[in-house]
Amino acid sequence: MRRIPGETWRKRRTLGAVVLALVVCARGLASGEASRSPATFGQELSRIGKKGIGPSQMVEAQAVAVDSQGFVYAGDRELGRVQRFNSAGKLESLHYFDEGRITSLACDRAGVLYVLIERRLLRYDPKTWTLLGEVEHPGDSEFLAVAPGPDGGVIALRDNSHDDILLIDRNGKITRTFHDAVYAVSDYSLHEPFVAVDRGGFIYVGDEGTHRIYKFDPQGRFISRFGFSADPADPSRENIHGLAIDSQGHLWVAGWSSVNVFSSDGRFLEHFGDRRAHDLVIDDQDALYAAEWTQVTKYAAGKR
Amino acid sequence: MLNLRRVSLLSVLILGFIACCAHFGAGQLAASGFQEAALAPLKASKPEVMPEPPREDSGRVHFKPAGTKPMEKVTLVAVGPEGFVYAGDPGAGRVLRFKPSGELASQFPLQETRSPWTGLAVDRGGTVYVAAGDRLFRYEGGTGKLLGEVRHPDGPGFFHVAPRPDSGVIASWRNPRRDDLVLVDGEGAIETIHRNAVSGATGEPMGDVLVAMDGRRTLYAAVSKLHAVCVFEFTGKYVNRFGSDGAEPGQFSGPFTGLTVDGQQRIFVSDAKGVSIFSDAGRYLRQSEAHGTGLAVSDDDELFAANGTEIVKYSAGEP
Repeated sequence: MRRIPGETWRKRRTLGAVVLALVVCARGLASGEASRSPATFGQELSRIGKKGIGPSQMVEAQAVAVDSQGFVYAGDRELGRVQRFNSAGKLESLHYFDEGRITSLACDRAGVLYVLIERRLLRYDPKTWTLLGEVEHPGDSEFLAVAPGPDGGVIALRDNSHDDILLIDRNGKITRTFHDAVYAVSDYSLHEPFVAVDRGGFIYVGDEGTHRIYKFDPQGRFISRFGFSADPADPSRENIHGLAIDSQGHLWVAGWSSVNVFSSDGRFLEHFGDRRAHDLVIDDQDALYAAEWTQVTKYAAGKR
Repeated sequence: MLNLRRVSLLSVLILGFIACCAHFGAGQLAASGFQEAALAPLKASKPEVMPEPPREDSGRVHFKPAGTKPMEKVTLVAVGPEGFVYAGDPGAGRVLRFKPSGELASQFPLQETRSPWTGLAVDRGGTVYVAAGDRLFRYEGGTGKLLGEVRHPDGPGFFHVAPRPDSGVIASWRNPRRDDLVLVDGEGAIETIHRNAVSGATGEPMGDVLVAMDGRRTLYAAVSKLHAVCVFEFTGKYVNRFGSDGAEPGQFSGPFTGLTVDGQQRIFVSDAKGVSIFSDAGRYLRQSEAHGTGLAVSDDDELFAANGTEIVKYSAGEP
């Protein structure tokens, strides 16, 4: 066997490395795949909609929901309609509601869409926009907020002289009621509140009136409360415009013009400025959807 | 000698690089659904007429069929939710369906060839509605299969049709005594008839009326006899009207030929003068550079105008 001189061997080795690098480079260029790093915490991933009144456009999107199939629902308060987008952001259908203004939306695990409209909580099959029924509201009680709940149902807040936290099952029936939950510890009735449940069943109620977030255990027992300040330099901006919890237990809170992240015990973690969201929801893949008036924006949540 | 070897080596490297790109590039094309175009066998027989790519100028796209009978008198246009553009060619009794890029995707002859052909619309489900000979027919957009007919309880009289933002269409209907606005649902069933809507607002039957509906569900009816556009609530309640007969900006001349609305609350009206643009409050904004008879708007607020021999798309910023 002919022996290869050392210099020639080095040259061939270098040449081999160059060829390999070129092949890798060519493959990368041809596939169009830029070196994608995992989305960072809070990073914007995509947007749905733009300003306008046409299909897939929005004027006052102040409610958002997402189902387990990845369909995203945007409730437009001014236009009185809900638009259903698929996971790619394409408009599938839209439905107008003649009942009044849309306040809140939530999907249960079966894909039933709950629409809170003029203090009533209506259940729809969003594939056909068939009205399935209405959640009972005895007397003068009025619904205030709705969100995905434990056990595949939804959780709702109801104004019934003071306030109730309700667990609603997959059939739209109220299974548990925690009476006067917030009023008992604050002496204030809820004002434009939001509600969310974490994977352990702990319940969080964000109250616009007191600028506080109240935490309850799965049995409705009060645990703690903490103040919320979206902009410490401007106390007038201590608003709560949305509440959602990711798989890591991070509590996402939309403020006047920002989105803030807290730990489950109320410790401040992150602040994302210039985000004017009015409602938040998080899907099974830890994607955060924010209703931002003229669009719904998708952000990365979960691991920090 | 050494230089020659180096040059050869470099050439091999470059060729290898290009080959790699071609190889992996073809794989990428196949993965993205373009494999048929990339791998289609060449035909050695008679030379084919190469499709004329859609012509673009100033952001406009011209839709003209290549390799088939040219359009001669296209007066109607519609845009579907997927971005497909439909041209109504009454002379040939056919509907041409263009891809959003401008290439002809398919065409189908009308199974119900009635005249005059006065309306064309596509609803959110992709169903094509054709108003012809006072009747309103429904076709499957992809295949051209006749799905059925929308029947007004008082008989034929449909004139114009336009898409609703949710599902179905709105249509105008008239007889010698009154003018109705008819709301049709996504299954082709009549949902609501606003009886005597236009004639009730104007005090007498107005005949041929063009219709449109915006994202607030406001209804617009362009009345040629009145040289005005009447505005109605979704419930059919008359709100007001704008426009008059004349040659001044904001006035109308001759019969209306097109009416559509976009997502930016603009109303586009075509008549003998061209295409005029109004705000949703009826305030005259300006004259459009668009030319055409039938008008339609896409979800991206692009304006499409039927111009006899072609359809022209104007970008969202224009006109």
